[in-house]
Amino acid sequence: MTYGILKSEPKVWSCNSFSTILGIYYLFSFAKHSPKASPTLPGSIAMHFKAAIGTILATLAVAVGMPKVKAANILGSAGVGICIALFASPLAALKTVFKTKSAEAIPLPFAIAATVNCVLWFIVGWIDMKDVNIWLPNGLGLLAGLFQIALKLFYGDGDKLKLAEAKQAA
Amino acid sequence: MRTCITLLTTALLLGASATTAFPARASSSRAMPKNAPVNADVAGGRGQDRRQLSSKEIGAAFGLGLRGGAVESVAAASSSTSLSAGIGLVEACGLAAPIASIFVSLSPFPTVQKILREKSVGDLPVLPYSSLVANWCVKGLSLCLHWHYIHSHIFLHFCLPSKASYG
Repeated sequence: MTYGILKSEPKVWSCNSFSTILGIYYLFSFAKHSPKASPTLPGSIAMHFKAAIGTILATLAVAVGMPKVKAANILGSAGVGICIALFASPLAALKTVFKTKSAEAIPLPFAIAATVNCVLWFIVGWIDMKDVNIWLPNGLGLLAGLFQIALKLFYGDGDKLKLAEAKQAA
Repeated sequence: MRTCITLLTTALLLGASATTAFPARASSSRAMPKNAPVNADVAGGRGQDRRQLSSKEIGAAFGLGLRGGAVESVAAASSSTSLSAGIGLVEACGLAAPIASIFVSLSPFPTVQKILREKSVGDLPVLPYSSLVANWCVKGLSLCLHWHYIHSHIFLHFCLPSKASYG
Protein backbone atom coordinates (compact mmCIF):
# COMPACT_ATOMS: atom_id res chain seq x y z
CA MET A 1 0.00 0.00 0.00
CA THR A 2 2.81 2.33 0.94
CA TYR A 3 4.60 1.53 -2.25
CA GLY A 4 1.47 2.17 -4.27
CA ILE A 5 1.45 5.69 -2.90
CA LEU A 6 5.15 6.10 -3.43
CA LYS A 7 5.13 4.83 -6.97
CA SER A 8 3.11 7.78 -8.17
CA GLU A 9 5.06 10.25 -6.07
CA PRO A 10 7.48 12.33 -8.15
CA LYS A 11 9.19 13.65 -5.00
CA VAL A 12 10.55 10.16 -4.34
CA TRP A 13 12.08 9.83 -7.77
CA SER A 14 13.46 13.34 -7.89
CA CYS A 15 15.01 13.02 -4.42
CA ASN A 16 16.55 9.65 -5.30
CA SER A 17 17.94 10.72 -8.66
CA PHE A 18 19.29 13.96 -7.22
CA SER A 19 21.16 12.16 -4.44
CA THR A 20 22.53 9.46 -6.76
CA ILE A 21 23.82 12.06 -9.23
CA LEU A 22 25.39 14.03 -6.38
CA GLY A 23 27.01 10.86 -5.01
CA ILE A 24 28.50 9.98 -8.41
CA TYR A 25 29.72 13.56 -8.84
CA TYR A 26 31.45 13.44 -5.42
CA LEU A 27 33.05 10.08 -6.17
CA PHE A 28 34.37 11.17 -9.57
CA SER A 29 35.64 14.49 -8.22
CA PHE A 30 37.41 12.63 -5.45
CA ALA A 31 38.83 10.02 -7.81
CA LYS A 32 40.19 12.73 -10.11
CA HIS A 33 42.45 14.19 -7.42
CA SER A 34 43.20 11.22 -5.21
CA PRO A 35 46.39 9.17 -5.03
CA LYS A 36 46.35 5.55 -6.16
CA ALA A 37 46.61 4.37 -2.57
CA SER A 38 46.43 6.17 0.73
CA PRO A 39 46.09 5.05 4.37
CA THR A 40 42.88 7.07 4.75
CA LEU A 41 40.98 5.89 1.66
CA PRO A 42 40.90 2.90 2.82
CA GLY A 43 42.18 0.62 0.04
CA SER A 44 42.43 2.15 -3.40
CA ILE A 45 40.05 4.15 -5.58
CA ALA A 46 39.81 1.22 -8.01
CA MET A 47 38.66 -1.00 -5.14
CA HIS A 48 35.91 1.47 -4.25
CA PHE A 49 34.70 1.66 -7.84
CA LYS A 50 34.68 -2.15 -8.05
CA ALA A 51 32.77 -2.36 -4.75
CA ALA A 52 30.20 0.21 -5.92
CA ILE A 53 29.68 -1.59 -9.25
CA GLY A 54 29.57 -4.93 -7.40
CA THR A 55 26.88 -3.58 -5.08
CA ILE A 56 24.74 -2.47 -8.02
CA LEU A 57 25.16 -5.81 -9.83
CA ALA A 58 24.49 -7.82 -6.66
CA THR A 59 21.35 -5.77 -6.02
CA LEU A 60 20.15 -6.44 -9.54
CA ALA A 61 20.99 -10.17 -9.26
CA VAL A 62 19.09 -10.48 -5.97
CA ALA A 63 16.17 -8.56 -7.43
CA VAL A 64 15.90 -10.64 -10.57
CA GLY A 65 16.89 -14.08 -9.29
CA MET A 66 15.13 -14.38 -5.94
CA PRO A 67 11.54 -14.50 -4.70
CA LYS A 68 10.30 -11.02 -3.94
CA VAL A 69 9.87 -11.36 -0.17
CA LYS A 70 13.28 -12.97 0.33
CA ALA A 71 14.94 -10.48 -1.99
CA ALA A 72 13.30 -7.59 -0.17
CA ASN A 73 14.61 -8.86 3.15
CA ILE A 74 18.14 -9.28 1.78
CA LEU A 75 18.12 -5.84 0.17
CA GLY A 76 16.66 -4.28 3.29
CA SER A 77 19.44 -5.77 5.42
CA ALA A 78 22.00 -4.60 2.85
CA GLY A 79 20.45 -1.13 3.03
CA VAL A 80 20.79 -1.10 6.82
CA GLY A 81 24.43 -2.25 6.56
CA ILE A 82 25.31 0.36 3.97
CA CYS A 83 23.53 3.00 6.04
CA ILE A 84 25.72 2.19 9.06
CA ALA A 85 28.82 2.14 6.82
CA LEU A 86 27.86 5.53 5.41
CA PHE A 87 27.52 7.23 8.78
CA ALA A 88 30.62 5.62 10.27
CA SER A 89 32.72 6.01 7.09
CA PRO A 90 34.69 9.12 8.11
CA LEU A 91 36.09 7.00 10.96
CA ALA A 92 38.16 5.20 8.30
CA ALA A 93 40.64 7.99 8.90
CA LEU A 94 40.74 7.28 12.64
CA LYS A 95 44.25 5.82 12.54
CA THR A 96 45.57 8.91 10.77
CA VAL A 97 43.74 11.19 13.21
CA PHE A 98 45.38 9.54 16.22
CA LYS A 99 48.76 9.33 14.53
CA THR A 100 48.89 12.96 13.40
CA LYS A 101 46.80 14.31 16.28
CA SER A 102 44.79 16.21 13.70
CA ALA A 103 41.15 15.67 12.71
CA GLU A 104 41.63 17.31 9.31
CA ALA A 105 40.75 14.00 7.64
CA ILE A 106 37.24 14.07 9.13
CA PRO A 107 34.82 16.06 6.95
CA LEU A 108 32.93 18.27 9.42
CA PRO A 109 29.89 19.20 7.27
CA PHE A 110 29.19 15.53 6.60
CA ALA A 111 29.65 14.61 10.27
CA ILE A 112 27.26 17.37 11.40
CA ALA A 113 24.63 16.57 8.75
CA ALA A 114 24.84 12.83 9.48
CA THR A 115 24.51 13.41 13.23
CA VAL A 116 21.47 15.70 12.88
CA ASN A 117 19.92 13.23 10.42
CA CYS A 118 20.56 10.32 12.78
CA VAL A 119 19.10 12.17 15.80
CA LEU A 120 15.88 12.83 13.89
CA TRP A 121 15.53 9.34 12.40
CA PHE A 122 16.45 7.71 15.70
CA ILE A 123 13.65 9.60 17.47
CA VAL A 124 11.12 8.88 14.72
CA GLY A 125 12.18 5.23 14.42
CA TRP A 126 12.19 4.57 18.14
CA ILE A 127 9.22 6.59 19.37
CA ASP A 128 6.87 6.76 16.42
CA MET A 129 7.55 3.76 14.17
CA LYS A 130 9.06 1.46 16.80
CA ASP A 131 11.07 -0.12 13.98
CA VAL A 132 14.44 -1.58 14.91
CA ASN A 133 15.60 -1.29 11.29
CA ILE A 134 15.21 2.46 11.55
CA TRP A 135 16.42 3.26 15.04
CA LEU A 136 19.32 0.80 15.27
CA PRO A 137 21.39 1.98 12.27
CA ASN A 138 20.57 5.59 13.04
CA GLY A 139 21.44 5.09 16.71
CA LEU A 140 24.81 3.64 15.72
CA GLY A 141 25.21 6.43 13.17
CA LEU A 142 24.45 8.96 15.89
CA LEU A 143 27.18 7.52 18.12
CA ALA A 144 29.64 7.51 15.20
CA GLY A 145 28.71 11.10 14.32
CA LEU A 146 29.10 12.34 17.89
CA PHE A 147 32.47 10.60 18.07
CA GLN A 148 33.60 12.33 14.86
CA ILE A 149 32.51 15.73 16.16
CA ALA A 150 34.23 15.05 19.48
CA LEU A 151 37.44 14.20 17.60
CA LYS A 152 37.11 17.36 15.54
CA LEU A 153 36.61 19.49 18.67
CA PHE A 154 39.41 17.74 20.55
CA TYR A 155 42.10 17.69 17.87
CA GLY A 156 40.91 20.39 15.49
CA ASP A 157 42.75 20.59 12.20
CA GLY A 158 46.09 20.32 13.98
CA ASP A 159 49.32 22.14 13.39
CA LYS A 160 49.84 22.07 9.62
CA LEU A 161 53.62 22.32 9.96
CA LYS A 162 53.75 19.33 12.28
CA LEU A 163 51.37 17.51 9.98
CA ALA A 164 53.66 18.05 6.99
CA GLU A 165 56.63 16.84 9.04
CA ALA A 166 54.73 13.73 10.11
CA LYS A 167 53.81 13.04 6.49
CA GLN A 168 57.43 13.44 5.38
CA ALA A 169 58.60 11.13 8.14
CA ALA A 170 56.01 8.55 7.08
CA MET B 1 31.44 26.13 12.23
CA ARG B 2 29.40 28.05 14.82
CA THR B 3 26.24 27.60 12.75
CA CYS B 4 26.91 23.88 12.49
CA ILE B 5 27.39 23.53 16.24
CA THR B 6 24.17 25.52 16.88
CA LEU B 7 22.28 23.28 14.45
CA LEU B 8 23.63 20.16 16.12
CA THR B 9 22.83 21.43 19.62
CA THR B 10 19.27 22.27 18.54
CA ALA B 11 18.79 18.77 17.12
CA LEU B 12 20.18 17.12 20.23
CA LEU B 13 17.99 19.27 22.51
CA LEU B 14 14.99 18.45 20.35
CA GLY B 15 15.83 14.77 20.62
CA ALA B 16 16.33 14.94 24.38
CA SER B 17 12.98 16.72 24.84
CA ALA B 18 11.17 14.22 22.66
CA THR B 19 12.66 11.20 24.41
CA THR B 20 11.89 12.73 27.82
CA ALA B 21 8.27 13.16 26.85
CA PHE B 22 8.07 9.66 25.38
CA PRO B 23 7.75 7.54 28.58
CA ALA B 24 4.71 9.60 29.63
CA ARG B 25 3.14 8.85 26.27
CA ALA B 26 3.90 5.15 26.46
CA SER B 27 2.55 4.73 29.99
CA SER B 28 -0.56 6.68 29.05
CA SER B 29 -1.09 4.39 26.10
CA ARG B 30 -0.81 1.30 28.25
CA ALA B 31 -3.06 2.68 30.96
CA MET B 32 -5.80 3.69 28.58
CA PRO B 33 -9.07 1.75 29.00
CA LYS B 34 -10.36 -0.38 26.15
CA ASN B 35 -13.28 1.94 25.53
CA ALA B 36 -11.05 4.96 25.17
CA PRO B 37 -11.61 7.12 22.10
CA VAL B 38 -10.55 5.32 18.92
CA ASN B 39 -8.82 8.40 17.61
CA ALA B 40 -6.56 8.48 20.62
CA ASP B 41 -5.41 4.97 19.86
CA VAL B 42 -4.75 5.94 16.26
CA ALA B 43 -2.81 8.89 17.55
CA GLY B 44 -0.57 6.50 19.43
CA GLY B 45 1.65 6.30 16.41
CA ARG B 46 0.19 4.17 13.65
CA GLY B 47 -1.45 5.07 10.40
CA GLN B 48 -2.08 8.14 8.32
CA ASP B 49 -5.26 8.90 10.31
CA ARG B 50 -2.91 10.35 12.88
CA ARG B 51 -2.94 13.52 10.83
CA GLN B 52 -6.64 14.04 11.49
CA LEU B 53 -5.94 15.05 15.08
CA SER B 54 -4.16 18.08 16.40
CA SER B 55 -1.55 17.67 19.09
CA LYS B 56 -3.90 19.29 21.62
CA GLU B 57 -6.66 16.77 20.89
CA ILE B 58 -4.23 13.88 21.19
CA GLY B 59 -2.91 15.16 24.51
CA ALA B 60 -6.42 15.71 25.83
CA ALA B 61 -7.51 12.22 24.79
CA PHE B 62 -4.57 10.61 26.54
CA GLY B 63 -5.07 12.71 29.64
CA LEU B 64 -8.74 11.76 29.81
CA GLY B 65 -7.99 8.08 29.37
CA LEU B 66 -5.33 8.05 32.03
CA ARG B 67 -6.75 10.21 34.76
CA GLY B 68 -10.48 10.22 34.23
CA GLY B 69 -11.57 11.56 37.65
CA ALA B 70 -12.35 15.15 38.47
CA VAL B 71 -10.02 15.09 41.49
CA GLU B 72 -6.98 14.73 39.27
CA SER B 73 -8.14 17.13 36.61
CA VAL B 74 -5.31 19.59 37.27
CA ALA B 75 -2.72 16.85 37.04
CA ALA B 76 -4.41 15.56 33.89
CA ALA B 77 -4.28 18.98 32.31
CA SER B 78 -0.57 19.34 33.02
CA SER B 79 0.08 15.77 31.84
CA SER B 80 -1.79 16.31 28.59
CA THR B 81 0.08 19.55 27.94
CA SER B 82 3.51 17.92 28.30
CA LEU B 83 2.26 14.93 26.33
CA SER B 84 1.01 17.02 23.44
CA ALA B 85 4.30 18.90 23.47
CA GLY B 86 6.15 15.58 23.30
CA ILE B 87 4.03 14.34 20.42
CA GLY B 88 4.50 17.67 18.69
CA LEU B 89 8.25 17.25 18.97
CA VAL B 90 8.11 13.74 17.52
CA GLU B 91 5.97 15.03 14.65
CA ALA B 92 8.45 17.84 14.10
CA CYS B 93 11.26 15.26 13.96
CA GLY B 94 9.22 13.24 11.45
CA LEU B 95 8.85 16.28 9.24
CA ALA B 96 12.47 17.34 9.57
CA ALA B 97 14.01 13.88 9.05
CA PRO B 98 13.49 13.60 5.24
CA ILE B 99 14.86 17.13 4.85
CA ALA B 100 17.88 16.14 6.94
CA SER B 101 18.42 13.18 4.56
CA ILE B 102 18.69 15.63 1.67
CA PHE B 103 21.19 17.67 3.68
CA VAL B 104 23.29 14.52 4.19
CA SER B 105 23.45 14.19 0.39
CA LEU B 106 24.43 17.85 0.05
CA SER B 107 26.90 17.92 2.94
CA PRO B 108 29.99 16.62 1.04
CA PHE B 109 29.60 19.50 -1.43
CA PRO B 110 31.87 21.98 0.47
CA THR B 111 34.50 19.27 0.93
CA VAL B 112 34.42 18.38 -2.78
CA GLN B 113 34.68 22.08 -3.68
CA LYS B 114 37.75 22.28 -1.46
CA ILE B 115 39.23 19.21 -3.19
CA LEU B 116 38.63 20.77 -6.62
CA ARG B 117 40.14 24.07 -5.48
CA GLU B 118 43.25 22.52 -3.94
CA LYS B 119 43.44 19.72 -6.53
CA SER B 120 44.27 17.29 -3.76
CA VAL B 121 42.21 15.08 -1.47
CA GLY B 122 44.74 15.32 1.37
CA ASP B 123 43.98 12.76 4.05
CA LEU B 124 40.26 12.61 3.39
CA PRO B 125 38.74 9.12 3.19
CA VAL B 126 36.80 8.12 0.07
CA LEU B 127 34.45 5.80 1.97
CA PRO B 128 31.77 8.45 2.69
CA TYR B 129 31.41 9.13 -1.06
CA SER B 130 31.51 5.53 -2.27
CA SER B 131 29.08 4.42 0.44
CA LEU B 132 26.82 7.37 -0.44
CA VAL B 133 26.66 6.10 -4.04
CA ALA B 134 26.06 2.50 -2.88
CA ASN B 135 23.41 3.65 -0.41
CA TRP B 136 21.43 5.58 -3.01
CA CYS B 137 21.91 2.89 -5.66
CA VAL B 138 20.40 0.23 -3.40
CA LYS B 139 17.51 2.55 -2.54
CA GLY B 140 17.03 3.68 -6.13
CA LEU B 141 17.11 0.17 -7.55
CA SER B 142 14.70 -1.04 -4.93
CA LEU B 143 12.26 1.68 -5.93
CA CYS B 144 12.71 0.87 -9.61
CA LEU B 145 11.85 -2.78 -9.09
CA HIS B 146 8.24 -2.12 -8.03
CA TRP B 147 8.23 -4.23 -4.91
CA HIS B 148 5.38 -4.31 -2.48
CA TYR B 149 7.29 -6.01 0.31
CA ILE B 150 10.31 -3.82 0.39
CA HIS B 151 12.07 -3.42 3.67
CA SER B 152 10.76 -0.58 5.79
CA HIS B 153 14.13 1.08 6.18
CA ILE B 154 14.43 1.80 2.49
CA PHE B 155 11.01 3.32 2.06
CA LEU B 156 10.34 5.02 5.32
CA HIS B 157 13.09 7.45 4.49
CA PHE B 158 10.69 8.94 1.98
CA CYS B 159 7.19 8.48 3.29
CA LEU B 160 7.17 10.18 6.63
CA PRO B 161 4.91 11.22 8.16
CA SER B 162 1.98 12.46 6.12
CA LYS B 163 2.07 9.80 3.40
CA ALA B 164 2.86 6.84 5.61
CA SER B 165 0.26 4.16 5.88
CA TYR B 166 2.44 1.29 7.07
CA GLY B 167 0.14 -1.02 5.13
